[in-house]
Amino acid sequence: MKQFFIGALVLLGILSLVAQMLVPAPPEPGKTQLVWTTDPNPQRDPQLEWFNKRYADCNLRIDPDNSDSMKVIVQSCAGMGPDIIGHVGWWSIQNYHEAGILMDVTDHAEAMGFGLDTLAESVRPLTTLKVLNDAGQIEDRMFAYPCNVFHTYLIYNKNLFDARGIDYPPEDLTWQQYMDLAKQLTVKDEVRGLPIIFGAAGVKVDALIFQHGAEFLNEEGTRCTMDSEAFLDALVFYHKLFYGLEAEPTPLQKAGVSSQGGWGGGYNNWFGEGKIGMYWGARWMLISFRRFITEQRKERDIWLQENPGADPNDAPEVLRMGACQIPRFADGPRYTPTGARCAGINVASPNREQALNFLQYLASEKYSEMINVGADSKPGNIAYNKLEQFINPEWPGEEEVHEASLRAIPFGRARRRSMLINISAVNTEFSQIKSRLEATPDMTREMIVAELKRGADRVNLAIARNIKRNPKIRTMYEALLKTGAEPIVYDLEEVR
Amino acid sequence: MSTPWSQTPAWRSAMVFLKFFGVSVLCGIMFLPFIWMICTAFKSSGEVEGAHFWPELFSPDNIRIVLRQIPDPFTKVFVNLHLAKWIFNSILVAAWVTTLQVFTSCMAAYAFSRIQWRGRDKIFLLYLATMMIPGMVLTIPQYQIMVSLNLVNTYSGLIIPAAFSAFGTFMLRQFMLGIPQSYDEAAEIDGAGHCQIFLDVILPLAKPGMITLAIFTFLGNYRNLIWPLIMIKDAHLRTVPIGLLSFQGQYGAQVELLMSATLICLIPLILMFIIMQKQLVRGISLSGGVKG
Amino acid sequence: MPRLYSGVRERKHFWAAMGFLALNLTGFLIFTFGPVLLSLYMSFTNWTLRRSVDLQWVGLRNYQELLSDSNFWFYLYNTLYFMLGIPFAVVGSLVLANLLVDNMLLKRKKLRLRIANVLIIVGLLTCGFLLVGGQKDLALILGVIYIGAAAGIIWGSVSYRTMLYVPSFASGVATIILWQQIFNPYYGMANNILGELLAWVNLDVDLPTWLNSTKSLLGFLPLPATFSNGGVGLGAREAIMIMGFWMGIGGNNMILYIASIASIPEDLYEAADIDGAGSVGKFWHITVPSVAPTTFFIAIMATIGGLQGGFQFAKIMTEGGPAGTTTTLAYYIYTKGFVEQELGYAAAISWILFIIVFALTLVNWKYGNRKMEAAS
Repeated sequence: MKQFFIGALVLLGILSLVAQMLVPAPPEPGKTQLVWTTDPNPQRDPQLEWFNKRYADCNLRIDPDNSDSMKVIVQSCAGMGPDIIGHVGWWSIQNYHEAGILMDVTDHAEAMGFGLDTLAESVRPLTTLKVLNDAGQIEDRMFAYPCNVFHTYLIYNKNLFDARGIDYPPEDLTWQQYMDLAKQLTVKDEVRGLPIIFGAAGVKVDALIFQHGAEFLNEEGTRCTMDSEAFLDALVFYHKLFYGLEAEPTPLQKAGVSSQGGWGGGYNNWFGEGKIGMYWGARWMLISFRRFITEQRKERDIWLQENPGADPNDAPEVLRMGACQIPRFADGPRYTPTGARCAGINVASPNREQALNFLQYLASEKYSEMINVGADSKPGNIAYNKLEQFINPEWPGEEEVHEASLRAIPFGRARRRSMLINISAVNTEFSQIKSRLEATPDMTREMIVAELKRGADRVNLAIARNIKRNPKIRTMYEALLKTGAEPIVYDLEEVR
Repeated sequence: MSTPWSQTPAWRSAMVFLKFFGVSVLCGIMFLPFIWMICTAFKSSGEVEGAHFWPELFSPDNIRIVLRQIPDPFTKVFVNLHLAKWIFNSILVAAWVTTLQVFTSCMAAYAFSRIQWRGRDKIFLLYLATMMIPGMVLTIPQYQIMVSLNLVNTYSGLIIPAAFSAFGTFMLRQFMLGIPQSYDEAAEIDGAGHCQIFLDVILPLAKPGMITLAIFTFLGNYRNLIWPLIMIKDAHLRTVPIGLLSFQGQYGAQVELLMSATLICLIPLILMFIIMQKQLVRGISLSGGVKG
Repeated sequence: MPRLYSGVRERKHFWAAMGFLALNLTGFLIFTFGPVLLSLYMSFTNWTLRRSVDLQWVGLRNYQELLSDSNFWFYLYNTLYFMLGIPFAVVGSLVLANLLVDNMLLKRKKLRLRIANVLIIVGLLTCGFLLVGGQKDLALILGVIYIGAAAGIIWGSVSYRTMLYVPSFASGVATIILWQQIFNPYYGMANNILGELLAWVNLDVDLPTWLNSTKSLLGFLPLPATFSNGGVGLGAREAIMIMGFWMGIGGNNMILYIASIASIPEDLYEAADIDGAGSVGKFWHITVPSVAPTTFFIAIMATIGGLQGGFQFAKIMTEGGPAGTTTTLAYYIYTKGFVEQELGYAAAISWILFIIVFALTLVNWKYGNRKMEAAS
């Protein structure tokens, strides 16, 4: 026993010495070390290289993160946070701001050239938050800049349309046309009656909600409007798409396609395999689709080699994509969900000034070029969102996707935020309601009403509690009331 | 009187055969997920989601891509993986943690099980109680302690907090409770003090427990993600789970490469397990020179 | 006189115990106990990460809010439901461990090699046949079983243990995916077998939809509407429990039991042999009582794990669905704490969990202590 322990300790001592010797020398002095916490996607490496080349007095490196906000929060609480925070999304921006981590970059943005005017109008709300300034007024301040942006539109599989002799969807698609096309494209298995090819998949409930004219919160953010008539109509229609109109795969139907399960990204793979006719997608999916196309081409070439002289129409098909906008109601507006993955600066970082260079870099031409070539969604800077920059000569046949992506930009819309409550609370309530909708075939209108009322009630109660318990939020509420906002639902006296 | 039929050689052979047959089938089936992982490591990108095991488009290149011998055919660059460094770090940290933890837990377990002292059970319940708090809420205070001790972003920071574990103490205490008191009393009569009883009597008898704790600790620490994720900022300190995050990009994982890398990183664990569990066979506790 | 003697002896023992305990206790106090106390204090405050909120003592407010939070009760119900499967998993591990604690090597080496050779040849032929016939997956599965059997013959229980234990730590996600396939309502093995059984017995019942169903075996209870109760049947919760059982029997608990059984002195078994006990008798009267301390450990750890777990399952397999029926409290603690940043509230949830586990532990402790004293 004793020898074992002593032997183990000796061995470990040697290994530790080796480890110490392998510690790399500290990086070059004179350069500011910048740490960027984000997922260690291999596509980042050339981005880092170019930054370090351009800003020679900085050395940027990545600290891997798992796309949760836990690491940044824990580290920043103890003052050890990164200089640049990645994964700042449309709801986490509020979290980080309230935790006091994000730096207000509005003034620097104007000076350094990555101001709000470089962003599309639909993208600006994703990078700003409403703040109470010293004069007691509410204004928008900028806290982050997008690493990339996406807008949702419809990608369709031309092979499936051609096989059934159906015309491609028009650019200005309506819901009625969408549902008809979905029905025509659906192919069902004869034995069980389950779909083996889905006409359409991936509908986004936000689009329906906005198109009905509903929202999650009222304009000033003092009330939750999930229980409004318009919201209810939107959800009833959403439910019907699954269970009444069969224009969207239900969980059971998804199980009926035998290759269900897997590592996630189910719909992406199905679309690549030709199992979905129309798919609610965005430009970042091109990365996966390019892989599929490459492998399908390989398969097709192998098949043609093995069967010389055969009719090429019998060979396995290669995916051909077309794109159009998402459907809208015949006389209604068109809104499509949009999002951005942004980067923010840590206000406690000693290298703040140099870190701002990174945001400037995100708006630069070189960075935007790398995003465009890699089809990593779209770059933030609107000046580099042009068709000729999207097109990658190695991948012909994607023009329609690029065009639709550009045309979708003006229709983008994201959920409203409120100063009085953390938007995640609203999201959590809504996703519970949504998941119940998707899992219950026989949900009646009354049941949905009950769910919405309960959810809205909880959000309103949370808003009231926040105002009652937090003096700073109370100040913001009073400022809002002064600008003529609707008062909150609950009476402050009754709330603990 | 003839032997009862349940003792005949034929019955015994039949039982042995059944035992082997049953265990083989069970083990084969339990092992299937691992086989799935191996198959996936050799599949091409589009096949990964499929419901079949056998890779139709066999791609042996995945292993070479992961080992940085050839570039990734899609992005045309070498993947940014440093498996050797990460495995070295993980093994170093896990080995240190295991050694320290077994060491301190043994001694603490001895104090909790073989010595009678005032407040023993109460303090033990305290140990138990701390295990019942979900670890997530403790992360922030623990990290702040690390910062104030200046242990962030170092090997020591990964090793030292994990070296003290109520889990190990609890487990070894239970093992030691199974050792009959007669051994202690015999040694005491011979004039042995606590130290000697501990080293010569209890430790050899508790070897199965220590080996088990070593296995669990090593495996658990090797695969731990959250704590190293929060503690480490420098690239040279990264452990395997952090390194494998490279595959979980914003748009989903490149699963076939992830499987290849995971399999390579699992090899030390499997080897370690095979070596250590050979010790866990019935009858080993008698080796120790105990009177009795 | 006797009292004086015992007092001195106790004190000496106390310092001896402290000597052994010192290192562990120091580390424990700094790294574990301190943060735990802090979290207890925090559960009585309004701790959030918002800079705009000053830390304030709020007494029992978090706890009161918890008790009227319908989400909390729902997730607590889910968590407790999953724990119902723990006894089965523990018994399964014990049985397996008992099987595998011996070497399992046949006496003569030549016999072993010969049987192994036969197995390999038969295996190669069968699988080769299947491969050529196009049934590649079946060939692979049978091939694995044959190789497992051959390895088991040659190396004994070492190979069996490896084959059972390695998947439990190595292939978490792969196992979950495979089980999703098994529980597929249309093509999965579970419903195939069930369908055959029901046809054989001539029962005309709908096959369960497993992971897509909000039904559960306890669905007859009068649960509130927020619990997404779909009625009586086999649903997602049962599927996850079956999966948990399967993954658990070959895992850590099995190894613990193997180590524990290996420490039982041989003379106990020899004495039983002389008394004419059969293997079942030996198992029940010697093995089970002797591993009682380990069973206590496993029971406590399983309870703790059960109340804190389910995080990975929920996220990967069902995303907490359908309709939240497989979301556990651990997930709720994470969302409340790190997503909505209500850390005081999350701490309060953790401490309620603690109270439940601690109560169960105390019951187990008293019961176990009485049993151990009776046994010795």
